[in-house]
Amino acid sequence: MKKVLVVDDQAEMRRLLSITLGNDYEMIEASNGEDAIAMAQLHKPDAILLDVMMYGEFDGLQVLSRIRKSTLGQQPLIIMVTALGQAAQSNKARELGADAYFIKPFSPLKIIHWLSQKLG
Amino acid sequence: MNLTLNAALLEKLAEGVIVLGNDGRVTDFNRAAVPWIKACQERAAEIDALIRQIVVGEVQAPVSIAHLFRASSANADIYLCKSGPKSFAVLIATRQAGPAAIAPPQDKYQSLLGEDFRHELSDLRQLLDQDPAHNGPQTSPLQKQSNRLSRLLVAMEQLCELQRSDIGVYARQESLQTMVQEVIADLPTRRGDYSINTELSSKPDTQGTLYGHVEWLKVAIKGLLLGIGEGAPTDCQVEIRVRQNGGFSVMTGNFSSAFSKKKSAPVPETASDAILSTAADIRLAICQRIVALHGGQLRVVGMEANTADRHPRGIESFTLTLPTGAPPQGHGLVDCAKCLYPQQAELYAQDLAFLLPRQPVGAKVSKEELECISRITTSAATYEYSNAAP
Repeated sequence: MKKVLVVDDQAEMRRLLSITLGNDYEMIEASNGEDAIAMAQLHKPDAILLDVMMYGEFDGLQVLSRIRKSTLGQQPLIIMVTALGQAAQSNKARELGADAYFIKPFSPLKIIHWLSQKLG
Repeated sequence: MNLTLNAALLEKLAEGVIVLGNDGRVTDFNRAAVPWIKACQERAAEIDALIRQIVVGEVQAPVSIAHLFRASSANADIYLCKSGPKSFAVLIATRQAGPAAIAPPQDKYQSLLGEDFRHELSDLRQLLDQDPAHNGPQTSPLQKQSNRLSRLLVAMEQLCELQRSDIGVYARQESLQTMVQEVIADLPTRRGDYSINTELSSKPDTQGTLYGHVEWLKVAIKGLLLGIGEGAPTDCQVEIRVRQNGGFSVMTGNFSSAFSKKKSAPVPETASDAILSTAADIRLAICQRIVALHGGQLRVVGMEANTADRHPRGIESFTLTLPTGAPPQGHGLVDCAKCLYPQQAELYAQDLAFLLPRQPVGAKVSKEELECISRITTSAATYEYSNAAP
């Protein structure tokens, strides 16, 4: 089963995404950027759902940048999930290597379909 | 001028009709009258005085009351008429285009609370589990899809829980009457005819207010009224009473005479034979969800059974009353519109609605629904489902 890492400082959103996707994927959760980077290295997930706005040392864009620069071997798909709908943020995420950008509130079906298309 | 009004006739009238009780309060109106409701309520005292004069024979109906609506009646003839032994009506005949009517709907909601989806899903999964012959490569995608839907439902339940746990934090004050008007104006279909009975004093600052998840409640009420609209007979009427204390009631059916006279219905002999008369009955589940989220009471009156087939014919009417009160001490009021949870819940609901179509009206009722309805209609003539406000 493919692994998906959910990174969000809101426990409710992590739980929501884990429930939504938990039937099709093995779900791993991280509540901040530091843990996310460590868990990405440890578990080597196939995809990461990454919140942009997070408390702590790293926000989502910094985590994205660090993971893309790291030598993880096969790079995971990274989906940014954010309440920020500005085009500038979206463009920046794309420049840093994000594969998709979902704005909260998101359609769970869109995330499911997107992941199933990319991960199979 | 004598008027025999029913919802279907009202709806066809190009002129506005506002039906009043003998105390001058608005009890019904048609679509064309919507822009005039507010002005009519503002002039309730004068209209009431005129009604008293008509009752004692001092004034002969119909009587022109255009002078009461000076600001908005430049292009309309407005009359106060008798519409029945104890009711009156305001007729508005516009000479040109009147004030803007109800705005066209921007979106369409399906059931938001997942009860019927859940039953369909449970039936499907039961079928797949019971018959091993059905479990094969062909049914694997079906099973996967049903599991996926179950996940979405669980996620939506989680969102509902979040609503409830955060009710004190994401709270604001809003006029219930305004809220209900907005919801009705946003409905894409109106098979039933909705009326708003404010039961308020003439002081505008004493209007009912709600403290809680206003946006979520709007969505829930919209789902409720949509359910009634789709399933109800064409002459169905819905009355929404906004109370002085901020609660409101939703009633369907022949509400003018039905309450307190109906007997309970017997338990059906077999669940599978029972047919609900209207899908409006299933909206009971939505009411229960609203009560669970907001507190209040749900009172249901069972429809009299046909003794020949001994099956309940559904629920005659129900009253949903939501209590309101001051927000909890120590909580700052946060703008609810910025809360993502109701919006997220809507998207989950829309996805579910997209994946699973609604049951047609008159479809067989699930066992759980039937048990719920049977319990309600047999335990007493009326059943109160109550839940303390969180």
